[in-house]
Amino acid sequence: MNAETSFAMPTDIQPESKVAAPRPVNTGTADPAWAKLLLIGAALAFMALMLVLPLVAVFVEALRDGIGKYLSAVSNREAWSAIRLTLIVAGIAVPLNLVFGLCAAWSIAKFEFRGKSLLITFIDLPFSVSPVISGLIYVLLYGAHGWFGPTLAAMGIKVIFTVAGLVLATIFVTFPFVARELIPLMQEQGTEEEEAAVSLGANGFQTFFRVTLPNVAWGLLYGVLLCNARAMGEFGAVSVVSGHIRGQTNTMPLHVEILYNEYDFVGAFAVASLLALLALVTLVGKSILEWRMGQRLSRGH
Amino acid sequence: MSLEARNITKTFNGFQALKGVSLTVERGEFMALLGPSGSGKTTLLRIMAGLDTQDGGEIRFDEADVSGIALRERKVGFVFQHYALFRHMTVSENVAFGLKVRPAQSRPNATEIKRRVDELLHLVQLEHMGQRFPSQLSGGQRQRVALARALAIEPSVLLLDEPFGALDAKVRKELRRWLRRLHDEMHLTSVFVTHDQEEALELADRVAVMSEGKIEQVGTPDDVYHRPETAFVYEFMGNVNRFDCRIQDGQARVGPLVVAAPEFPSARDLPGLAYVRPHDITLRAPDEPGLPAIIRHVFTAGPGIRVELQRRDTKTQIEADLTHDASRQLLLTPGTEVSLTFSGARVFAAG
Repeated sequence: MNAETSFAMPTDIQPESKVAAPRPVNTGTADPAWAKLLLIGAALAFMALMLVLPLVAVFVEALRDGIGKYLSAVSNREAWSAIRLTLIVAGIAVPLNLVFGLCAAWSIAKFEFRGKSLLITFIDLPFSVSPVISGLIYVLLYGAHGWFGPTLAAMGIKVIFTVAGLVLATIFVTFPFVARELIPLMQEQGTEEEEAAVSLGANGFQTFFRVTLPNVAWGLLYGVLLCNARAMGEFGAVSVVSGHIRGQTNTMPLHVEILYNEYDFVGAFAVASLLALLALVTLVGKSILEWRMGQRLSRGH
Repeated sequence: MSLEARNITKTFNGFQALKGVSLTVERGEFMALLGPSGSGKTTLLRIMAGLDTQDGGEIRFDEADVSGIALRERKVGFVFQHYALFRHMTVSENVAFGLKVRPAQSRPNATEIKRRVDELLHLVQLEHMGQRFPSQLSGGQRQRVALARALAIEPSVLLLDEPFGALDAKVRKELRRWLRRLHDEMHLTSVFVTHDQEEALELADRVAVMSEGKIEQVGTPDDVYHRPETAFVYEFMGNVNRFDCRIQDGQARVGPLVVAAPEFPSARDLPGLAYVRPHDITLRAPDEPGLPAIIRHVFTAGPGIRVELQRRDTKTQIEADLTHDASRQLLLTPGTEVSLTFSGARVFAAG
């Protein structure tokens, strides 16, 4: 024999633990002041020594022989050519990675399919592989004795030691930035807004450009910023496929190395200072975007 | 527009969410899909809208099969459980969205869109909120924006997924009365999903009670509450005491009590379950005939008095709801012996 009763929990009663009580200060677990100072001091000293000092050194060395020398070092023909090439490579690689990253993030966040975790792992591949290897892969594939090299050469297409090779290597190395930034953002947002848009009569384009893209705009910008910084600063992969032809396949980081090897320290540091400036601009931009995204998040929740 | 689901089946990764569901929603009717989580109610609603595709069966709008018609062509007003408002758009832009994305030849001009948006915001009582962003609104306000946005496309049917699920109790009550009034004014065929019996009973013209991918019963709130057709519906529609019993010749025995079981006129010692609502239990003096029990706890807060009892023979728990009037004639103290009788019970075959 069995008798059972079921009563619904009243929904308007909050569990007691939800009531915020002032938390007593637990002196037993607080660190002593000297430990706090020591840790903060150590962290700051390390930062100054390892990060700030080298940055300062770049500018000091660049300006060692005066502003005139500096200006001529960054405005001579070869320097200009390196700057131009860097801008071209980044100008091609970053937009392509923006599109690829968006596609990858979209498919991972909004669809369920077989091999999804494999795809996520592959997106991280460029981060886990040494850039030199990344470059070598392209030499192996497209070099004169590579898999596709002879076929392409017969068609008159040369990849290695040309801008095309630089672009390919850069795309490979910088691929994860945009996708990595967007995947968690898109996953968190889910597909409800897109569903709502379609139920209101929007077609695929309208849904993408009016709902999906604006929702990830800040995250996308952030990813593009990081992607761009890496694209312009990449050394290893680019070095392998470049061939170091002055005025032709020398990007800024490669140009810095050549000048340095020729004992032209002012020239090397002058060009390096431009890259350092790019880093600073990227950091400022990153902070602004983080602040904006933080604001949106706190408003959204 | 009338809405019909015919023999809908749906399987997700081997889990059968809908096992051949058929349901007709009449023109202008307000229908509730009521069931516990996992009963398939939201799946059915999404298939009606075209947000999901059924594996088998068809959906008909006014007799026409719409199974092959895509979501964006169906002109269904869908209100999502978590509203799914476009977070980067203002309230006005959200409401205008369905009009702005129309193809150029059928798109109203800017003044007309603005007029319609103002009209809808007035309807949902958010006239002064047009320039706000969704994140600056309360839950109830967001829900109303979602509704205005869905109504902007002049939908043929309005489908609402747990429309009050994310709101606190007080707002929920206000909003559902308001929604009922709105429905009565607009004569729109509407279906909403809920797991809250009270909400379904208060709001809907008819209720479809679902369990494990099937419809258990469709009927008016009065029908499903007072005349449940299955044991599941009886248990789901409110608090209930369940007693094991034996059914014989149209009668069921619960201890010394005899309960009518007219559904089983020729049963021979059939194991059954008798369902008794707490308010159908009467407490009497221990020397009167009935089921002997002991009072364990008495809760006097609220509109009535709830008494927790224990059966003398099986030691199982029983709950009874008394009115304050009825309780004045009894001495309700824990430990008191009483005799129970049922003023209403429903017997189902066990298993």
